[in-house]
Amino acid sequence: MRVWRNISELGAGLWTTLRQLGRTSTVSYPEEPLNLPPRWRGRPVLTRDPDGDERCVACQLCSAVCPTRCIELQAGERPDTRRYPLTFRINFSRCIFCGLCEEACPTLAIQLLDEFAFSKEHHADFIYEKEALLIDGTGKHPHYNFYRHSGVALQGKDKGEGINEKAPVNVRSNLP
Amino acid sequence: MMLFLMALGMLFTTLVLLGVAGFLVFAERRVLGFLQNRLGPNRLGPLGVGQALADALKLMSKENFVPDFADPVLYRAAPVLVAFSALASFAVVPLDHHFSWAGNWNIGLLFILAMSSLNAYGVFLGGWASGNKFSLLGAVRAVAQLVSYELPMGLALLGVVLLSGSLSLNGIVAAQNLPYIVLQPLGFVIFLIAGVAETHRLPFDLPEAESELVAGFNTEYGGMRFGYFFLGEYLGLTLIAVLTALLYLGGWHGPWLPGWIWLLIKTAALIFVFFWLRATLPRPRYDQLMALGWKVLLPLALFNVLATALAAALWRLA
Amino acid sequence: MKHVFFLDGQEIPFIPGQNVLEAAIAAGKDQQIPYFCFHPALGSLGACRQCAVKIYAHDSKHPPRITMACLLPASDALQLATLEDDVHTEHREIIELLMTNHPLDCPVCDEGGQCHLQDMTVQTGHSVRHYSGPKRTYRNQDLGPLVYQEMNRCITCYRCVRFYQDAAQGEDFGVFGSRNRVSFGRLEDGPLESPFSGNLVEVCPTGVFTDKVFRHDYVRVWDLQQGPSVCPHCAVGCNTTPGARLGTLRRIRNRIRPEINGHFLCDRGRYAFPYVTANSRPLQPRLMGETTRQDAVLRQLASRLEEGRSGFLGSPREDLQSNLGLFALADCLHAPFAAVTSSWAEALAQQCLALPQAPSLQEVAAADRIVVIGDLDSIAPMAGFAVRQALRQGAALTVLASSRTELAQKGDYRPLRPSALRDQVAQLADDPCLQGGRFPVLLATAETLGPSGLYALRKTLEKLPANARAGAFVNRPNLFGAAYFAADGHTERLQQALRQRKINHLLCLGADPLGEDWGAGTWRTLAPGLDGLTLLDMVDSETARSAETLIPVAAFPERAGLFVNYEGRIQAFSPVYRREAQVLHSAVHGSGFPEAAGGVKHPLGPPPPLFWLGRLAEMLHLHEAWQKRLDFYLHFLCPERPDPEGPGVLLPDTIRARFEIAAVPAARAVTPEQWELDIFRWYGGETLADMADELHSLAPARGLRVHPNVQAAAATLHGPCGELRLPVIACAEMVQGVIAIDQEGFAELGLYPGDPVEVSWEQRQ
Repeated sequence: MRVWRNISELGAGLWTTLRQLGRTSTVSYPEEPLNLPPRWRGRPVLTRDPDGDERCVACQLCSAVCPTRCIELQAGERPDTRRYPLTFRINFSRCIFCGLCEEACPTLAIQLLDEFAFSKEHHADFIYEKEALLIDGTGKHPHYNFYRHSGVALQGKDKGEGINEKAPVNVRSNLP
Repeated sequence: MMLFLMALGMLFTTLVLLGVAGFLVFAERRVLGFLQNRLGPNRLGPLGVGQALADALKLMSKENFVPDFADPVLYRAAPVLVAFSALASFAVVPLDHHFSWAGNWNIGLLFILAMSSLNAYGVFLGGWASGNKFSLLGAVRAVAQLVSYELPMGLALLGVVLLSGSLSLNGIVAAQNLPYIVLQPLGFVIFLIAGVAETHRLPFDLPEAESELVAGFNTEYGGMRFGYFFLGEYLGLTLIAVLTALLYLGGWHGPWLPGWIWLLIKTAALIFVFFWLRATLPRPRYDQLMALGWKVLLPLALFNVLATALAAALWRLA
Repeated sequence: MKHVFFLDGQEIPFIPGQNVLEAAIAAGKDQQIPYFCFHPALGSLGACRQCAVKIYAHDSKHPPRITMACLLPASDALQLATLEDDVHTEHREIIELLMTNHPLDCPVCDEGGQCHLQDMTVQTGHSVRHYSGPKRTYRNQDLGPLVYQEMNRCITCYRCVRFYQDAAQGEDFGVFGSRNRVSFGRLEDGPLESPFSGNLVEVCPTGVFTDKVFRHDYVRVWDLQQGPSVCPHCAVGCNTTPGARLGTLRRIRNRIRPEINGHFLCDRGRYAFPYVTANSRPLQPRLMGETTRQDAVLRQLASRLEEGRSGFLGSPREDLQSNLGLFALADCLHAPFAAVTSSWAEALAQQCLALPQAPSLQEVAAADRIVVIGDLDSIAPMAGFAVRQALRQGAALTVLASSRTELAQKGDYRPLRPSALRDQVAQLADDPCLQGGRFPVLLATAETLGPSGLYALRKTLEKLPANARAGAFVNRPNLFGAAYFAADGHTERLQQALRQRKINHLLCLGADPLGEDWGAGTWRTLAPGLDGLTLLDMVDSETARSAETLIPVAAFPERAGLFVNYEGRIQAFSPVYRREAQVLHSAVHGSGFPEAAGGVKHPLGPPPPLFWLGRLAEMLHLHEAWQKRLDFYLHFLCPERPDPEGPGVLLPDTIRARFEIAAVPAARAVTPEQWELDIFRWYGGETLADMADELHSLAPARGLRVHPNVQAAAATLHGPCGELRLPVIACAEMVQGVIAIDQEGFAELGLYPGDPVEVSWEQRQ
């Protein structure tokens, strides 16, 4: 009996391998395009809000959370008191595509693209400046605009005009 | 003039055989790939055929190196011996009626058995001369394995010889009105298993055993010397496949197509079976290998000889 | 006996008089008790209801109850708990109430990362806002160039008002509105008037008040390089924490030093730092106005010094070691050296150093009889702050000054002409204002009082009870350090040597002899006799512009050094960062990164003065002798090196004793008919601070401040060194017969405070 069982198992094994003939899990990248999942973590970019302004407010949470310290930015202030990153650099020779910056970003500005295969001859070419990072689009979140939710005034948006806000208080009134 | 043409023909055959062996290396990698849900090498040339050439070029361009601690003469001789013995065996292999270099030699089978023993010497000497403990272990295993499996192999062949009454390959093929696989199923299985063990291919690749002995007998070999071992192995594989086709599957017999194409088809199918085995079966332990050889195959082979002889005698009487 | 109470079963030690929260914070348990309205310097209020603890009664009759830790006096064997569910719920729910109207703008809030509200919210675990109704909003006020207001973030803890009105006693900031519309600010937009307005930024536990100067060049606090430093803008020597990033200084914050500045810092200390990043700051050596290499300048200077016709001029603006280095080099070369620019300032420095041990600001705040001479707020605002703290404790204040200053309005004001100050000071011992006091303190602005006044002050002090103390203030960080070299007649000797053409080259360190330093008028008349002037300085002063050789030096946060403050306290400061040229826009890849990574290397900031002097000594083959002298003097002055993190070391009394024998300075007689000069300063005015644009934008207009009964549009003053024509500014608070002008005006005229002056008035058209 044992012999027959062994032989049948042997046969089952052979059949298993033979069945695989003609199937393959390999994707011949780059000839065949990859089907990447939507939450794939590739190269980060800076997106714009639905009104076309930069989303980034230079809060520096991304650079704080970055485990490889590859993000460096300097905050600036526009004449309408809106914060923006004067410079924004990512050193992609250090980036590990962990996506923590995207998670940390409170304004949904930094978002990870599906681009992962980019190679350069020199390390210095991996340092992407803001011009190379800022895209003309809203990315994965088409409707979010941080300034509509937060209670700061801007040119074109007065106090009380944000979402879920009352009109400004009259502090001179002592009425109950 | 005749001699010159013959020499030219021999050279051509040798080159073709080497080419076939080289191509088999590539073919095995691709077939294994397909069997394992992979693609295998497909970058160079159409379907990746160029890979064989690239491998050969790589091996040939490597440094010709003899380790300090190796025996220089034996170290150099061993790969040649392996490749030579495999190539020489093909001299008696017919592709069709009376179409072989050695002609219809009446002891062709014996010659092949002798040559395959010589092959074992090549492996053993190579491992021993390397002066490396892994190589030595591989060599010792190779000798023990060859000795153990040559016996069942020879005994299995006896069945065929008994039935055909000939030691010449032509004679045996000619005698097969019915392929001997029908008359000798046990003999066929034993011959196939022993053949795999003879060529020390997976699952019986204990002399090499990458996971235990680095690369076994050819640990210290590199470049074209390693290439000779490699060629020897694949030529041996081809040889066993051709022999099986000739001895058990009716050789060039077959309807509609020319005989040599039938032989080629049968050989290729058998070679695929070897690849398939490699893709499926894990390597047994060394003691299991020995046990299989001595405790299973040898008694079975003896039984096969007795049974065949008895059946043949009864057949005569009847 | 050791006092302890129990918090969650753990012993918490306390000093009697402390409340539970104070003791718990001191014991490092602030993770267990969140709080907002409590501030160590402002005390408890119990307004925020955040610091709840559960108190267990000693008997079993009373159930445990929840109470506020900041209002609970610590007492022995008190049993308190915070790690219980109801206490934690209380904490979380109070935070949630405080957060209902929070605008959630942390990403654009400058407080983020150093926000008490953030910390407490995270600590208590509140994360979801259950109330979904609309949020209350406020319009912001423009509070001037220093403080930025974002009223939406307010949690009404009242810390700002308590600081501004109670501690700083400012009057232009308060609380408006009622119920949940309470707002904090000024009556109308405009810059805050208090010299301590910047502390609102630190006092506010949320982002209502943030630093407007820092805002323009903002980085998060976690990216700042910080270190212990000492404020270089006046003689008080408040401890500061400068913060820098990418090689540029971004902000100054207070570093708590109970003896001196406590929890606060004046606006000059906080907002004067942009001199470090000013565009006009020299960063490359200049030879004849052309930028050159270090070694070229050094070679030129060394060949000058080898001629042996050089004089050396130190400065009370530079630190102790640099002055000593210059002094040692002068000593090696047997060249004349002076630490200050005029004989008058020399006498002033000597008299300052001769005063007995001055009170620390902590002691000033504990005084009960205070006499302030001159406008203390504008010279050393933090000293004025300490006086305010004493006033809160009920101290009696008398102010002797020529104008009704802000402090004068808070106490007994005696309007006096500067020349009368000396006599008044001499009679103070018998004055009723100091009688009956437990701890009398006299604080003088040294320049207003003058050397003879300071001498009178010392004599008065001898007649007062033994615990009476006096302090003299200037707006130079290291007058006492410089005074150590100010032996009799050094300055005169240097000027004499120049007059007699014994020297034709002057090596100045941080001094501005051709600009606004005391006695600049004299130097200007002597300048034609100079073949060359070499200046080591960090600001673009008048002298720097006309110097033959200009050697830039590291600013104070960029180097280590020692300052001696008005009490003779030697304080060390350590280098906080390395100056680099800031790279903002970079078309080239990789700039801003190390060279190895393909970046462009930036010119580093200039080295400290000691480096230059050491190199000079090396080139003159004097290095060993120079180093030996430097080490010797330094060891003599401060045998033990102060730790930058520590409270500093007081100068030994033996050094003071050397100056007690200094000659009695003569005072110039002034008749009541003559116009008399007094110095006018404002709280943000100082050589380095003048380079700070934001602070300087608050500076009052330049002019002659006189009593309004003068009917003139402008006037020309005639002094021994020159004339000065300035518009007249009528000032109701001025004493009649006194003209107040700034230090630059004094420098141009060649006069000193208290001197009579000839005036030609120009009548209004």
